[in-house]
Amino acid sequence: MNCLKRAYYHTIRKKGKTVLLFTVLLIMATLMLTCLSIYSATDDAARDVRKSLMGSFTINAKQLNTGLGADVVQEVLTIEGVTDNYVLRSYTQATFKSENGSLMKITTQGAANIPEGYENAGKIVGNSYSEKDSYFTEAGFELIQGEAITPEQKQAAIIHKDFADSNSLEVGDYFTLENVIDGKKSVRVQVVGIFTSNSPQDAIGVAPSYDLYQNVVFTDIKTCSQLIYGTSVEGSQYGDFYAEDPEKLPELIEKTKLITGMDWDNCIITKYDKDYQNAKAALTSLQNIVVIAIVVIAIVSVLILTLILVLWIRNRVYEIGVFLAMGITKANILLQQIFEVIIAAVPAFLISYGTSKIIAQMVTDRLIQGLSEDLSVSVSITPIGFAIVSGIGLALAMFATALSAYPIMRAKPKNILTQIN
Amino acid sequence: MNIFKRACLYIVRKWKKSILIFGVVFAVASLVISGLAILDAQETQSAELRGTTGTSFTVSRNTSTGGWGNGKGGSYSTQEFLSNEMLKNIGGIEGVEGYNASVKSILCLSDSNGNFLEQLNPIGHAEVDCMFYSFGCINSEYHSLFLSGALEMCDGSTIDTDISNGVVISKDIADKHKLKVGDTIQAVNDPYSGDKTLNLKIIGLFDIIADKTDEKNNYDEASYYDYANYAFISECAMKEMLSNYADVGYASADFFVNDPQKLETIIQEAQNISSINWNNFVVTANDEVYERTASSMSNVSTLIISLIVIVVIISIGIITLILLMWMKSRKKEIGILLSIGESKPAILLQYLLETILISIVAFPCSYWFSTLIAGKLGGLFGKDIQSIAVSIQHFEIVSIVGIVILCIAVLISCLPMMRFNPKEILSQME
Repeated sequence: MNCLKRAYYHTIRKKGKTVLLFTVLLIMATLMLTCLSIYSATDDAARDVRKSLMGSFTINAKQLNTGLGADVVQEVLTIEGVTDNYVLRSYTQATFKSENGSLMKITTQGAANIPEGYENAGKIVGNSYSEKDSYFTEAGFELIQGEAITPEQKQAAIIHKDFADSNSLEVGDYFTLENVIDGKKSVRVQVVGIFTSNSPQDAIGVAPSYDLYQNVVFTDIKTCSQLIYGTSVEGSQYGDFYAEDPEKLPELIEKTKLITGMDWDNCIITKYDKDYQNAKAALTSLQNIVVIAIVVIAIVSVLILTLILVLWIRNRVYEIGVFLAMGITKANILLQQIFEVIIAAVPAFLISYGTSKIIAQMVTDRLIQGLSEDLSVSVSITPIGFAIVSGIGLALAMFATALSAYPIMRAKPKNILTQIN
Repeated sequence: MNIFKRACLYIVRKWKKSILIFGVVFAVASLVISGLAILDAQETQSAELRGTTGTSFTVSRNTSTGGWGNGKGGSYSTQEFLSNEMLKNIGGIEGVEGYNASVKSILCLSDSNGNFLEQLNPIGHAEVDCMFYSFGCINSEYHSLFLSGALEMCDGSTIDTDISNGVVISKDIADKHKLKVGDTIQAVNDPYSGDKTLNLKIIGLFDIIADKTDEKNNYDEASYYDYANYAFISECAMKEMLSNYADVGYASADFFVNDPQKLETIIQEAQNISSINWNNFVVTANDEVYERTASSMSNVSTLIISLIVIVVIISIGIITLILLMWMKSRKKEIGILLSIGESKPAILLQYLLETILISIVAFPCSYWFSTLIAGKLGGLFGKDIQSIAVSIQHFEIVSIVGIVILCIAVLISCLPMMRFNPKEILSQME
């Protein structure tokens, strides 16, 4: 009778023991698979926390002659880990001229001074999204008519209600922005929106005339670029880029600095990740807790499994003695026992794939799903995880069998059989 | 032979089985004790994580319900200011970690001999070059410039109400004028009026982290001053210097909470403070960061809790299963005991005793073991060593609940056998 056949008979004969071994292996495998899947889901959840904490970096290229070129912006965006959202900003002053070439009126009441050459000039804010500008987010500006500046718009401007009133401008009208120092750099823009300021300016008496809220004009990046650098290039003074994962910010900044064609030494790159930095330690601790939990579970599971197997084998001393006396080799007996474990283990592992999938689904249902696709977490059983657990589980089961059989195998059949009674 | 003796004898005689039961009870109890400790640690850490979002609420005076006055600087609101007592009352609510309110003014700073301190990049007018954008702070640690990371303390301590004449200036200005922590400087609001000049002690220096050359925030008065020319001053010193002016006080104050989940309750509690006329003030919550991150943060917690719950359920399952198998194998024994006249409750009691005796040894062992592994593993992650602490309460819960569950498992596994009479059982055997 070969060992495979013997193993089969033993399995059938000792149904109770086989069921016990099968159940223990099934539970352990399910537990380990669930642990693995929860572990990777926690990683995803932690990544979501980091993502939602947000991190960004700003390239300040104001000192450069042509600013931050549009080509460089495109290259930054191709770096993996930089999101598609970005904001370009430029700030300057410009003289306002109407369609008939006459100078336009600005507000001067409350100004600390009216600098020479700026009698008809105001502050120009170039921003990809005027609504994201701090004038709108912090200083209480509000669009009351028309639309905001977006990257789609060309040669567009939004102006203060007071400025519009005193110069009889309406949405749809045109006027000209002219570089204060170099009159050749000028752009004809169309008024696309009108805003007002809800809170009083606290810099009254300190600010020069062009900085007064009434004299601020928002325009698109291209217009601003023509105004500052001339028509040949398209550039901006500042670029804000957002990282997918704030953890990677330093890396992204390093990669950005490798882009050629920019004088990075004269740029200031600032990273904004205070929220992430604050939360970092607590978040890492939470992740470590999961690691600890899984290690504890793994250790204890292995202990239980080994214990059961060892005690199980020890009960079979008599049987081993008989086999040895019959002239069956020790290797053959060991092989038989290993086969028995495998007969119980293989179905146990296969079924554990299903049971852990059910548990994983139950856990997933309890999670809060983010609004966007990239902020969703699910607990799932991966084939790799399954392969790892099955492989390690089988190896462990065989090792425990060999370990527990070892002391018995060393003894002679005579000793074993006399030991019994 | 009494039940207790029989139970002891059985444990010793069937030592292999006893060891198996002991091992399983020990392992499962270790799992559950560690699991409870991990849940506690999870709770603390999650609360800490939520706390790092800098959630606060702002109490500011309601200018729409107050009157307006006119002064040389234009019109101003005559609504009442927040008094130090109001701030203390709100700041004293449990869960408020700290608060800050500031009065800002442009001060003229000079050294102890009265010579003007020049700004970092002077423009050449002595009266302008000594102007510093100053905040009289209750607690500069909670000033938005420090919280946002734009400025960072590099030497000495922050401004709080413990010191009445302290000042924190930038390291750049200190270096330029060879000043250090402990030196005294003078400050005055307007050197050409009757305003008081005060001696202030430098208690700390700050470094500038943010890029102030970025014009992003150049919409207010503060933007005309380089961060290097900022100063933070004890609130009572600031108020004393501004004693000639009517509209001086705290227009708003920020209160920072430990746990954003409790923000609403804390705001409620603040609004119940009867000594404050809430008609004159408005409260706004600042919890954007928390709102943005709350769902993903709670997902991390849910995952950890689920993990532990699954482990506990499965553990209980294993224990019950093994006890069930064990009892099944004692069918013959039950039959014999019944036939020699033992009562069914006595047999049951013996089995319960056996399980309890083993558990009594296993539970303390597992307590020791979980302290060892959970604690040691926590130690591997540095400062987490305190975060996973196995407490005696965990042990108590596990011991009491554990014994109850074990007893129920024994009862359930004995039940089918107890229904039969000895003859039936013994004839079933072979």
